[in-house]
Order: sequence, then C-alpha cells, then structure tokens
Amino acid sequence: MSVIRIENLCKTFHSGRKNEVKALDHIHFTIDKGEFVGFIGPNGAGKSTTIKILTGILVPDSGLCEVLNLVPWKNRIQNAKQFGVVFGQKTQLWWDLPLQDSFAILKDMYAIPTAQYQSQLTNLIQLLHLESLLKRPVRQLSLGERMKADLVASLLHQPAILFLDEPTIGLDIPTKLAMRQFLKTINRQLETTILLATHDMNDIEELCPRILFIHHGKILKDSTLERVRKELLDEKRISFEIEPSSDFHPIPETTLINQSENRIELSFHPETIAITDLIEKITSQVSVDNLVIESPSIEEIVMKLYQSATG
Amino acid sequence: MKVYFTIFHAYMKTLLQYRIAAFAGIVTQVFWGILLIIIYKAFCASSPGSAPMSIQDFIIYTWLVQATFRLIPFGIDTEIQQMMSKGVIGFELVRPVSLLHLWMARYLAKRLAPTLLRFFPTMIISLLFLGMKLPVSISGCIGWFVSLFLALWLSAVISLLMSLTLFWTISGEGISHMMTVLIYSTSGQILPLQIFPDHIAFILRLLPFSGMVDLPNRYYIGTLSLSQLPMTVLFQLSWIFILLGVCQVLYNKSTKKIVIQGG
Repeated sequence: MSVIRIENLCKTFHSGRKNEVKALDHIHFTIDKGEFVGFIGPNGAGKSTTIKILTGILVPDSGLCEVLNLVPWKNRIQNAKQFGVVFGQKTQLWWDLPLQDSFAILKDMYAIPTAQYQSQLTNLIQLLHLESLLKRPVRQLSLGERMKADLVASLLHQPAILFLDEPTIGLDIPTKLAMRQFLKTINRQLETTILLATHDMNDIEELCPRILFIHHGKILKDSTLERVRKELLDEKRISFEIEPSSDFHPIPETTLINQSENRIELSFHPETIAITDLIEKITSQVSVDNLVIESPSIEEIVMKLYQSATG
Repeated sequence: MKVYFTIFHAYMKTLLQYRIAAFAGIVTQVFWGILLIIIYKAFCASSPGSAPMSIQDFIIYTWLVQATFRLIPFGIDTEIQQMMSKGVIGFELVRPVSLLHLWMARYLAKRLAPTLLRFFPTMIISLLFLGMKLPVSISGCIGWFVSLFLALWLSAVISLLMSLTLFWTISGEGISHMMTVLIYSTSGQILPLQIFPDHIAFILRLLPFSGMVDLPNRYYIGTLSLSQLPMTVLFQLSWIFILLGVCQVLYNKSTKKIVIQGG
C-alpha cells in the first residue's frame, strides 16, 4: 500500500521578473508503508521543497501529490495529523516553557487521548533517555538534547509517516548513533514510514535500504544503495605498506590510485581478479605490511553520483 | 477548542514570568503619567475656564491609560516577525489547527498577561499617592469592565492583522512604526479624545482604535452611562468581526503564495 504518491509534481520559484528556478521538475515517486527512504541531493536540489509540499506548507504549480490519499495543501489540517516532521535547523518546541509543557500543548493540538499520550511519551522518553530533561526549559537544552526532544515531539501523535529534514545536522557522534538506533526502532516497531533528507551519508548507509537522488528538481535515481554502488563504483580497494627501498611493478588487472614512498593503493574488480590471486601476486613481489581491503566509501559513491548528474 | 485555551494558558504562563520587565515598565509609566498631568495642569492654569476636560477626569484617565498600557498593540509582534524571517512559520503550518485561531489565542494572552502584571501595582500606587479615584459608580465600573474585555479582543485582532501583513513585507518595520503612531494618537492612548477638537474627535471615535482605550475609560470616568453600553458593545463587536474578516481574507491569500526558503 503506498502512503506517498507523487506524479509529475512541479514547483517553480520566481525571484524578480526574470529569474525562475525550477525547484521541482516533473518528479515522480511512491513510497510504501513501513519503508525507510533516504532522500539525497546537493543543496538546492529540491529536497526541502518536496517535504514542504508533502507537509502542506507549499502549494505546487502542477502535478499530483497524495499523502495517505489526502492532498496536503487542500486538506492541510487533516493531513497534519498523519505525519510528524523534524526540520534539523528549526525547533518546534516552546522556547520558554519546560519540555513537558511543550509536549502537553502538542497533546491538545493533536487531540491525543490521555492514555495513548502517556504510553507513547513514556516509550519515546525511555528510548532516548530524556527522563531528566522533562522539567527543563527548552532554551537550556543542548543541541543534541533539543533534537531528541524535537523527535519525541514529532512522534507523540503516532503519525504513520515521519519526515526528517537533516535531523542529525551539527550533532556529535554518540547523539547521532543514539538517533539512528532510535529511528531504526521506530521504523521497525511502529512501522512508521520514514523519509529522511540528509547530507550525512553514514545516516543513509545505516538506515535507508532505498535512496531517492534528486538533482536540479529531477529524481535521477530511485534505487537501493547496493545497486547504486554496483552501477557506479563497483570496485574494491587494496592498500598496503612496503619497504621504502623495494621495487613494486604494476599488476595489469589493477589500477594504481595512490603511491607514496611506502604505501600503495590499488583498485580492482573482483570479477577480473580474485582477491587471493591478487594478494599472491603482490606478496610474490614485495613483502607487505598492514594490508587493507575495502569498498569505496559512500561519500565517494555519492560524489560520483553528483558528478554523473552534473557532467 | 481546548487547544486554543491550552495555547492561551501556555503563553500566559510564559509571559507572567517577566516580572522585572513589568516593574521597569511600571516605573516608566508612572513617570510618564506624572509628566502628562503636570503639562495638562500647566495648560489649564494658563487659560482658565476653557479646559475641555476637568483636571480630575484627566488624572483618572491618565492613570487608566498607564495601568492598561500593554493592552494595546505596540508594533508588530517580534516573535512572529522572527518566525517569518527565520522560516519557523512552517512549523505553525504543519499543525492540525487553524493558524488564525492559534495566533488569536496567542495574542489574547500576549495582550492580557503583561497588562495583568502592570495593572494592579499601577492602580494601587496611583490610588494611594497620585490622585487616582475609584470608578464613579457600580454601573460605571460594569461598563468599564465589559468594554475593557472587548477592548482586549479588539486589540488581539488588530495585532493579528498587523502580523498577517508580514506575509508580504517580511520585516514589517514600516507597518510597525506607522501603526504604532496611528494607534497611539487615535486611540486615546496619548491624549484623551475629549481633548481633540469636536469634529476630529467625532471621526476618531468611529475608528476601531478608540474602542481599545477611549471607550472603556469614559465609562470609568462617568462620561458614558450604562444605557449606552449596548451601543459600545455593538461598536466594538462590529470592528472585531470586520477585522477578523479582513484577517481571514489576507490569510487565505497568503497561504497560497507563501515560500519558505532553505532547508
């Protein structure tokens, strides 16, 4: 069952009389219940615009967009009950009020029954370890604490869909890890459909089986991370240290990426040469130390994706 | 409906924390009030017999104005202005509630809370030391209270209307300065409308702004009697509904054109 359906959606921003920016240019995708989708693309690609249309903040120029069969900008208020949203750079909490008061306001805004509110709040608070913060005014929370609190706030009404727009921006590593763990749990336990827009590729690698790549307002890839990896950068890297004086001859099945005085990095395709054969060929030439075999990082893959889109 | 009360309550709770600000405000208000009264006394002394308003009435009027100083809007709400310029306004739109009603609840609290903080101390100080008197009669008191209650709503609607112009101007500086001068000079906030020449006072009393200050104060002083209250209520309610209508129209237009920039 698809929870989000977008067809031929267009949105143009006008600035001045002549400048037109096609923020969305006939985009098209659907997302099914329980999916965890990564939404990536360079700054200004159209990620936030799409999320703003889905949440009913922006009205598109043309095209179809449905969130659980509702058109967001026509049924803004009903639609608002179906989703939660976190914008990483903004907060939805009341600055001067204790955290629990902000939550209580949301309870009334979304008309959440008391029993349901209590159990959901307890559950979320435990998952994110926020017990000690409930009585603190929001202005006294650290960025990490506030982001966690914002996440709780967006999930209090048990939305079917969660939109996340750069939720991990500026967070330290333990907080990021806690957030990822939390999002995984929410996605699995409550079957919340999640659309995550982010520049943090580790978020994507950890969380999202499916990625949507948007560039200049067009969806250029709608695929799994594995498939993108295969298509764009299906190679392995091998690197090792050698004695500074020793002589290393190139191996035909490989490409030299980097050579310093004592460290060599090669790339190869496992189909053309088996790893064991390659190691044998290397060790027969020189004595090696500190040998590492790895896949290209997700950053590199995405960089390649960006380059192929612009180039 | 409950949610709007919750919002109102949350803002009241927040705003009632600003007690030091209120204290500083009261000091300013008292100083300003004394100044106005001295000036008026000097005018009356220089041309005896031609005063449009008795000195005693002027004193009472002045302290009423100072005690309810924060009831009337002072420029555009900076909180909403910041929401607009920073784009947090988006969060107001992803809620399953009407933005207009939400903001109305906010403004009722924003006008009422600081007024409550300042009202009682200013009244007590001026009653004890500065020549303030209690209302002339019970009926005057009722008239004053009823029209003051509607003045609160009128003030909230005007605040709402000014905020909505932010959808077009974003900064709102111009509207803010212009409206402050307009409201202050035409509501009776700076000088009682009774002091203006008759034909100007007549026009000013048709404008909505007089419903926030001049009308309630005249019941307190006793220049209006309870029999005129239905007309006053009708006047205030009409303006409240007319301006709410304008707000609705502006809001419908604005949500179609709204653009929230950046991530």
